[in-house]
Amino acid sequence: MMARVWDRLARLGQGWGGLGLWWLLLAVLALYPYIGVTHLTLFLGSQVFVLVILASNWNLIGGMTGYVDFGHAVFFGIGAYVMGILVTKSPLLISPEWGFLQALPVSGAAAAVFALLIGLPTLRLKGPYFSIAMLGTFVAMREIVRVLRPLTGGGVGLNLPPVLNRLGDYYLMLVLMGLVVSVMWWIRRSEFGQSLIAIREDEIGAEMRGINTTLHKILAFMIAAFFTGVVGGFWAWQNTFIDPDVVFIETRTVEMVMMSMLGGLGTVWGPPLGAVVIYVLQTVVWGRLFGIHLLALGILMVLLVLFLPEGILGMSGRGGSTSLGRLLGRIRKRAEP
Amino acid sequence: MPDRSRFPIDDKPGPVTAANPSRVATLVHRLALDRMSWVDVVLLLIRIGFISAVVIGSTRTFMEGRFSAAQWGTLIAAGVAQGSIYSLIALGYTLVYGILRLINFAHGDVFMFGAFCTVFLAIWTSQQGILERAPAITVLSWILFAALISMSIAVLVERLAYKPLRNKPRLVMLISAIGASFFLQYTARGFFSTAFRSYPTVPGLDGRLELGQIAVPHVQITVFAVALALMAGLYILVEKTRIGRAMRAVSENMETARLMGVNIERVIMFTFGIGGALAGAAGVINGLYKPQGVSFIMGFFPGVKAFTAAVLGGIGSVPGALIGGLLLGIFEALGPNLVLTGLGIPGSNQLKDVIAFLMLVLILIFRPQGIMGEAIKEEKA
Repeated sequence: MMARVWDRLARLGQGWGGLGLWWLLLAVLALYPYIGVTHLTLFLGSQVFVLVILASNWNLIGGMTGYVDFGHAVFFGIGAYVMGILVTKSPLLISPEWGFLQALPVSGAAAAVFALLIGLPTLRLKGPYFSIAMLGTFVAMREIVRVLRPLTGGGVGLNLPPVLNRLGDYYLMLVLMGLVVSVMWWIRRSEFGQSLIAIREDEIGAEMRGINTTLHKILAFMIAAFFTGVVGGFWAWQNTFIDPDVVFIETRTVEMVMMSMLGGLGTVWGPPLGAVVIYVLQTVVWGRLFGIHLLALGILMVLLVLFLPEGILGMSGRGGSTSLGRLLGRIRKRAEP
Repeated sequence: MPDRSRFPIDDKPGPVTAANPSRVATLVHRLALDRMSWVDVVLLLIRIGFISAVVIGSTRTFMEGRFSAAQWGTLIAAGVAQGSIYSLIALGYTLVYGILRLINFAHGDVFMFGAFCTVFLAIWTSQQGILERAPAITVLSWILFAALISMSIAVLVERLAYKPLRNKPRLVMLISAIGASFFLQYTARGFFSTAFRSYPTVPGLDGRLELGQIAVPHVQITVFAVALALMAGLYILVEKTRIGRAMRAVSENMETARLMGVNIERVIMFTFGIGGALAGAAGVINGLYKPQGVSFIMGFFPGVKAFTAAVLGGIGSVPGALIGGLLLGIFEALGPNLVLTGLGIPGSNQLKDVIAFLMLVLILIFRPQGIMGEAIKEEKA
């Protein structure tokens, strides 16, 4: 019974019904600030939206295309630094408030261009070698940012003008999240997304069927980098301070991986779900454990891979490769005569 | 496939038609330029760019005569010492890769754990005056202790994080490895706090040996000698003992070795143990060479650099790890001064780490088989 409901839901998620429900949820979230909330909850809300966007984007390259990117935070960092440099050093921007909105797409575009440049060589690598190369890129970029003192402020970092607009932040991230997840939904249904999944399953086979794998991989990488860069720019603006160590931090990539895996790699709704679950865990449970939450992150990651590699949404038992999935599958089989 | 007969190799010049292409077209075909995609063009440009940067940078440095021969010698000696530490860690990567085709991402943290636990023993021996009385034996005991700790950690990680995933795709193991790496880092942080600690100075290691014009610090010689001794021990183990033969058999073909009665699980455990022990020993000699900065995050950079060394030498090859480590150490020591100052890049010594990571990416892209190893293949990766 449960499993049948689960299957019905999974089918709904792929169709227009899923998108409809998603927009309904967005509408509810858009009304949320009008029912008497504080600045803090608005701030927390925008944080959750940021995590959802990050997880969805990582999932596009890591889950759908099958290129596990261990340095995806490099795009976040580039977005944050482009934002910081544009807002603090560029004379073109009229007022800080407008400057932010002008700089936001630029930070995304910078990340996408970097994705093109770095993706051309690294996306040729297979499996773990892509992961390691991206990790190397990530660390190298952190050191380069530290050394480019005149531009990036080096280890001292950059201070952005503090403009407090919690409501604006909330709506901006809400709109962006709605857009990103809708884009993912569209990609998953489109021929483009099917080609990405074909690349994940069998790259040589996909090439044989006439899919331009290089083009598809690069495009997916650039889309994922673009939104990650935009979110990085937003984060820099909201945080009002950036330095290499807070922006280029490995945990950010690890969180993206975790959230996608927890929700279900390669699914549309898994990463957002995983992001919310991880966020709730982090704030409610691990917030009380002080420094131990990163330890818990490591343990959770190993446990996830061991017992739930297909994530929450992959549990329906169709794959049947996990113990939990097998169990659910058995229950389903018993339910169906 | 284009029709070969349309591109006659030695033909007299005739009218240029579709059936008889010009000499230029023939040349283009013979150089395989017509099969070049735009990705290849970009890669070629990257290659040309890097090679010209290295050549221009180093010629300009030599023309300016910024450093004397003795200074270059000192740099190389420091590079060799640092490189031999990389080699020791790289052996762990390469041994495990050879058998499981797995990049043991937690290896850097195995190194950290050994170094971090031993720093307390080292401080204690120094306070008790044991270090003063018998420096050589004390340092040896540190190395043994660290090797033991790291060995147990490596075997534990293998049992808990990798063994249950043996038949899963390699990427799943890689994600598990990242999780294990995090787990080790924050366990160390939980046990020993975030403070930075240092190894005590060992008496007798602060002098310098004059080799002609070059003054080589004793500590560098010690580091190199210990590393060399450990590697010789490993060589004997792999080449001359029964378990070493089993290791080689498993890395050659796991299925056949299993059919021949080799206990695969035992070999895998042993391999992780040996790699871990070498990493632990590397942790101590790293502590002799660079006493400061022992903390829970110290494993990341040496880990990734040693992986670079393993790939540079050819992953899966034991002599490759040795050569790769030494070369990486020397490149790292020379690179900033030789290339970057010549190109006029400021703060060149801070870019040392960037050189290592750039090298990693470039080797993976352009020469994945390294200097003397097998090519990285998809089905193995």
